[in-house]
Amino acid sequence: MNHQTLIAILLLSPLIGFLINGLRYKSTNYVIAGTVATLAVATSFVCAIMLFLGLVDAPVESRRLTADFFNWIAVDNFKINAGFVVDQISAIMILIITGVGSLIHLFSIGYMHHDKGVTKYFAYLNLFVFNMLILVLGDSLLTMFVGWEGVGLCSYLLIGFWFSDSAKAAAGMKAFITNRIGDGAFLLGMFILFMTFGTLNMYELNALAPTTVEASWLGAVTLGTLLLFVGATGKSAQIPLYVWLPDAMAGPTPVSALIHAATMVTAGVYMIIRLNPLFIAAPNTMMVIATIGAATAVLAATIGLTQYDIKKVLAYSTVSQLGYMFLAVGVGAFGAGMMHLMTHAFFKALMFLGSGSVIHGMHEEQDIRKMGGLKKYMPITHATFFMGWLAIIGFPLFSGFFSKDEILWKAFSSPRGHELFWVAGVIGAVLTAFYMTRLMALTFWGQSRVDKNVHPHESTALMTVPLIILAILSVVGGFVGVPHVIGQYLGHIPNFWEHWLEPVIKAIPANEMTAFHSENHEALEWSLMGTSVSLAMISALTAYMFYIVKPGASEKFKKLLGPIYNLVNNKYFVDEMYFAGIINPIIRQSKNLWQYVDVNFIDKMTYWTSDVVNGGGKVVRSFQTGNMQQYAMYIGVGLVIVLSFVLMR
Amino acid sequence: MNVTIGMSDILLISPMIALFVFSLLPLASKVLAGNKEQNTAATLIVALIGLVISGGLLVVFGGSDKTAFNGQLLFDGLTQWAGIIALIAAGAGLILMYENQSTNQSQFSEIMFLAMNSILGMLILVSSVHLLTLFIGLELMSLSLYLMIAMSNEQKISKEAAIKYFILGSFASALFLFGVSYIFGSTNTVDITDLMSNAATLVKTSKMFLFGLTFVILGFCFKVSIVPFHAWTPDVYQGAPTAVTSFMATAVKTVSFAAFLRIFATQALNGSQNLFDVLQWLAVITMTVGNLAALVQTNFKRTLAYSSISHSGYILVGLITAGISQNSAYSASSVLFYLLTYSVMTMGAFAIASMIEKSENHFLSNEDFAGFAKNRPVLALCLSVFLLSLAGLPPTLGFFGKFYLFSAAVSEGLVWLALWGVINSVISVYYYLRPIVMMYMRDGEANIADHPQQATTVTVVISAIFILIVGLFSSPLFTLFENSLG
Amino acid sequence: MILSTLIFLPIIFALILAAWPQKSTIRHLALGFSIIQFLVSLVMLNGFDSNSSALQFVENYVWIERFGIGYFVGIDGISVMLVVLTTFLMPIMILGSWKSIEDRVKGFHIALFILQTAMIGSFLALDAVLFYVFWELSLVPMYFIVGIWGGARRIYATVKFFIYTMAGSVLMLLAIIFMMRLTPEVTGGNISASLLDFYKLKIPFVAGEFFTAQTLLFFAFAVAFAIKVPLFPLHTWLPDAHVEAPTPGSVVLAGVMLKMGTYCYLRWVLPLFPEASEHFAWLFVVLGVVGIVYGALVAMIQPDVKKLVAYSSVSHMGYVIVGIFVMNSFGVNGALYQMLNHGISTGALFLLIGMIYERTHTREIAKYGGLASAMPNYTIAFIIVTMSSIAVPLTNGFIGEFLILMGTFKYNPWVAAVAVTGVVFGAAYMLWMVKKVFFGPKGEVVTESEKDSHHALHDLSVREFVVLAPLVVMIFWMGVFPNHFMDFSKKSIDHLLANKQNYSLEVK
Repeated sequence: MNHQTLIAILLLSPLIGFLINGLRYKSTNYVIAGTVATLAVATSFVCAIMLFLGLVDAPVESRRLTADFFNWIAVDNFKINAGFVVDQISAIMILIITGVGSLIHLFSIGYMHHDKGVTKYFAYLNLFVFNMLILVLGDSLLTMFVGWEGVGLCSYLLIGFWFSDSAKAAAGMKAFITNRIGDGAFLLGMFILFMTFGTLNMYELNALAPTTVEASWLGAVTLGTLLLFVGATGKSAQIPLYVWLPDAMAGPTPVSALIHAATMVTAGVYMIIRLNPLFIAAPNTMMVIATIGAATAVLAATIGLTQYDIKKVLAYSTVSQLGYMFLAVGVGAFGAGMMHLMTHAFFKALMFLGSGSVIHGMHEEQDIRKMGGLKKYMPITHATFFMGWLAIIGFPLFSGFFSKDEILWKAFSSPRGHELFWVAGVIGAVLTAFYMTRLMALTFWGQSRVDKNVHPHESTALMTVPLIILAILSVVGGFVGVPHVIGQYLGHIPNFWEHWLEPVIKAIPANEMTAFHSENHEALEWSLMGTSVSLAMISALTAYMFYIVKPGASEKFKKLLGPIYNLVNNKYFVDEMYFAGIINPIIRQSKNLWQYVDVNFIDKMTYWTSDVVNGGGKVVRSFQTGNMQQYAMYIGVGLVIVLSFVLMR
Repeated sequence: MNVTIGMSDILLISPMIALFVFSLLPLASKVLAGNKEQNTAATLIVALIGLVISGGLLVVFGGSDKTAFNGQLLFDGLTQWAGIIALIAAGAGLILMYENQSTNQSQFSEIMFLAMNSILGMLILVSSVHLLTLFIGLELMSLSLYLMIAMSNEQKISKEAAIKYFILGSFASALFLFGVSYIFGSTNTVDITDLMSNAATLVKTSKMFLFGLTFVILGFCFKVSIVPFHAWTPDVYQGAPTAVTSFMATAVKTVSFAAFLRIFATQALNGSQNLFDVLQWLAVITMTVGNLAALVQTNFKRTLAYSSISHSGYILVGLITAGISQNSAYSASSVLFYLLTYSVMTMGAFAIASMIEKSENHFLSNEDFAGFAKNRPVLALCLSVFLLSLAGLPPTLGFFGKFYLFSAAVSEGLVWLALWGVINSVISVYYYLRPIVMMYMRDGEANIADHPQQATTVTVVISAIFILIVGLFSSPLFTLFENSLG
Repeated sequence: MILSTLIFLPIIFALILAAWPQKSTIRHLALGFSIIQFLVSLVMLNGFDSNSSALQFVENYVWIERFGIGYFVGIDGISVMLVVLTTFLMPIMILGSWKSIEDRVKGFHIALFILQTAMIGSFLALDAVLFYVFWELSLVPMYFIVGIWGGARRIYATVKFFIYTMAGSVLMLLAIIFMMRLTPEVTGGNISASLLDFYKLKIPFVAGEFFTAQTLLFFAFAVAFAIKVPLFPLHTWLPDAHVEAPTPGSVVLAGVMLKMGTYCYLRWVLPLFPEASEHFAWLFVVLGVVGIVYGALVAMIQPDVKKLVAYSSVSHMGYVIVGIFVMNSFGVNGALYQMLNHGISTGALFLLIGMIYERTHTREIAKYGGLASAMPNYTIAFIIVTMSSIAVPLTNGFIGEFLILMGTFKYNPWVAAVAVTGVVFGAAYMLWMVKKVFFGPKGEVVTESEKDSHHALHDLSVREFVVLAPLVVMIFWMGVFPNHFMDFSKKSIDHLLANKQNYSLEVK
């Protein structure tokens, strides 16, 4: 089967799944719905694998399978095809999307079977996969934008899936509108790039990207990439537009796993990696990206410390991990960023599904204060979650370790990196270790605080199997990209990852190369790694002390911190600030606008005119007394006036 | 000078003779029958036959550009067409009088007699190129009219209207004569054809002539109700029996303007910038005042009265254009066309008023139209057509009338008059829409009389169709006018 | 002949309806007629050669010889799609008003058909006076539709609509007369009202001086059209008219009548007054952008759902104006496409609102809520249309808005930056409305059938489904395969932009 057909099937089968389920959306038969949807995504997964293998077989220089289906828009010199490309980067993405996607679909069957809207749910899920695939496969920024907004739409529908709760509906709306702000910037970015390079095709853009870096802040490339990045902050929940993601947890948990952890939220990172030559040409942009990434990583992690909703903790953790990825691409470690994207997809999807399993077993309870000691009720969930935990806190040789460590090292060593980025990264790691351990402890360990009439139970195989698979991936996933320093001691494992991505990742221009790229940096790399890992482990241990060994210590600590804790616990009042500072004023001003411009000005003018005319009429009428002498007088007066005017010269 | 009356003179004035003869028939029959009113239908028919014959004769002998009574009466295209328009309008008026309960009564034959003679006056008016003959025509027309107004069997108010009209009218006539005397004094002639050649220069040279001319013009301004000489119009239009009002508003106005046009045709305006300016101002003031006043009326007949004043303003624009333009045939025919347009739509509107008003003393107000569309769908539709046409909306005749009028003005560079014209037509839309709103958009039982009036209904429907069709195919008609006036 | 058929067939239909004795079958008859009319327009479309910028199917007969006025109609890429849009919406409107119009059914459909003649006529007319006749004629039936079958304040609304529009167009009439007076210099003596002769005119233009021929004429035309569009700040008649109009009235108003304004900028203003258009383009771009943002902001706080959509029209038409006056290929193509989109999506919105109004007799957003569980199918339709209205990719709305914004960016990046906020606010007010109406706890007027079968909210009936289906299909078709529609107009637009200074159209 040639690759065009494969790509076609890959894209269409989720769409078909969507249509089938969409047309029978009222049915409550979760077996049919689930099977259709899962099969649809599984089919895509198979295609993805075949495409990937095709890519592997192909010689390095020709590792790019393209499919142009039809011309979408053609106006003047602006031509956009419905063109899709599978190359080293998008191949990985479609594997993650369809692979993890299938698992999550499978899990959903178990998780949603009791829900009235199960068929609709699966329809939305398929539609999401379809859009996500368009996003990653699209060969131009505009085709990417199609998926970009499409996934936003699906996320809107799925967050507000239980719409009769207006809070959930509001969360969906918030997500869409926040993303729309980013999308607006994304549009402008596209315009700048098109006006500069005359194309939106990403390969052409990369080819046209200037080789000499652009120093100015106002250069076309810098502005364009910056605006694209603003779009990314919306989609990938970075400062300042991250606020929608925590609320997005209103959606069903598998949705959070698929959309708000594994796939959609990484779109921004993906977009930057895809356009890495362009971004490399704009160091200022990359600096901004790295800074925002680092800041987000730390900020979100701190908020994560204080949350009690199991999903909220994971949500903030996601925001912070995405921060890592942006830090990575910001310092030019595109490969590392990509790798963290993948490993994160594994362990975060795992943990979300795990939390789903917990919530399911706890009968929709999400507050970890009401949990504890679940280990003995749901062993599999715990075991898998445990793996995820080790992965995310970067326990050596677990997947998270390799990717995160690579990022930290590049943050320190890359010519576009900086010691402070490394520090931020480490702080983030430390905090992550702490709140994740806290989450484990409060949920699974210690003595049970479960309500008497709630009987926790392990979930069915439908839900546990995906957990297990993801757990395995979270453990071993990192070995695809073992850094050389470690690799050489593990029987010389080559760094497959770098070799794979090397042709599509542009290097930082040589003139920026610094001392670190001499030979003697191995010791430094080891020591940095040691520092970060040990610090993380210590913080994890502290957390264990806090919540297991002496419970209540945390309470004292809270009292100690007092206002600071309060500030963090309330998420730094960012939402409140946005409302007070932006949203409410806009609404107030809109009311005024309407009142003053439409009602009180324009319409008043209209009425005023008609009043003047009518007034004139009344005046004229007042002359019409019906008194004949008066009429005769008018004639006389008129006569005199006219004559005097006519006869004077 | 020796006046010889030849056969040609008789033939030329045969339309008038016909009118006079037929005006006598009903009256004679009544007298012979011992002053008992005969069958009014028969009376009407006789009168109409008279009009038709007269019209036919007018068509045959009218447009020959011959003069009668050594140059006192001129039978050219203007005479012919103005005459025909007047005859048609008058005919419709007679039909209304026949079916309107306040005129169809014991003295119907007298009214017919007066009407016919008034029409006779009209024909003299449009044909005479001699200021004194013209005056005779004017007076003959007016005097009969005074009586007709007064002869309504119901109303005190109609008597009052008649008196007002009579006294003010005489005042205006006095002004007119006064002006004529000055013109004669300054030029030793009151023959318009003589003046034609040198009016422009005379106006420059002789203040006396200008003085006289101004008086003559103002005399006409009264007749065609130009502000500020219009004050009589609303009261008289309202007070007179509606049938008679329609007669006045259409036939009388048409011929007055036609005669007025003769004065302007002398090109006197090219001589006196001041006169030119004043008349432009009068036009603007007239249309504006007419519309503003109409806006605040509640009485339907009164609204129409003011609307007819504003239309005088529009027509005056046409006259001025004709007065200064080198090929006046074109502007003149645009005026003539507008007179036709105006007569048809005004006649239609008044006809409906005269059909549905309960009685003379019950003034038809806009509110009375509520629900009219439900009771009388056909009439309501026709009335809408008339009103929209008066407002000048395409594709009605009214639009094309305005279009010709204003494009003539623009072609003579009187853009600002045209501008005022269109602005005014926007204002007028408001009050023309009001009855339509009532008829179609307010529910309720229309407060109207219902005694069937077939003949009038027919007249109304025909006028409505005329307005819808002739507008779209006005091209040949206009060309015809222009050729016969050229 | 086909164009005359398109123009006058509705009049004939109207006459037949007027004469039709059976009250009960009026609707069916009208529906059948409108479908015939649509088919005729498809025949025309089928014969249309999209590879030429020339005027096609031209008919030119002398009408009023004395003034060189002709019955001169023709169609080119700029007007072809709008005509089809008009005929396409007609059956949908008739079917959509099946239940909502109870009183004076015959009159209503007669008015609709006359209106269609007027609208198609003004799209096809190539003679100034003929055009003006159709343009003004369109007022009268609309005036009756709003005034007779409208809501509580219908009379206020309809008179406002009438006077506003009339006030704009009389100045245009004067301008037309004036330009006719200029034609002899290009026709060699004869006065003419033909658009093609108007194109030949070189009307003197002095930059910086307002009282010069071209500037004044430009504004005489531009203002008349701006009122129709409606362009901020001349828009206030629209919300009133929309709120008071019956559903089909709103549909035809938003769907077609507003397009008459924007269309005329392309047909009349830009080619006739090139210098003035260039010189004052900034003004219209600015007003358009203000309209975009202002309309969106004001829509955001409307308590009445119909008023909200009305203001969204102001916003969307702002895009069109901007697209036209940036005068580059992206902008104008986008603008023309946006006209069609707006016709379809806003038309669909008004139909949807009409359907729910028939059930609950209120348009107050606050009274709704949780409708999604009571009327799921209806909700799906509504959300699809919403997506088109807020320009989500793969719906028609996106293509138009994207191209317009791109054209605006080419014209001036900062203006584009402001216009883009409209994209955000647009999403904001529509989704806010969707949330209030469809999600959350049940509102007071929302009753599910099982609860209380007496006055329950029933989901879409078959008829309503048939009404909406074609619109939804168009939304996606136009979103995924825009070329199928744009190809008709590209040639003409390129021609227009290439020859702004001395525009002319050859006749085919």
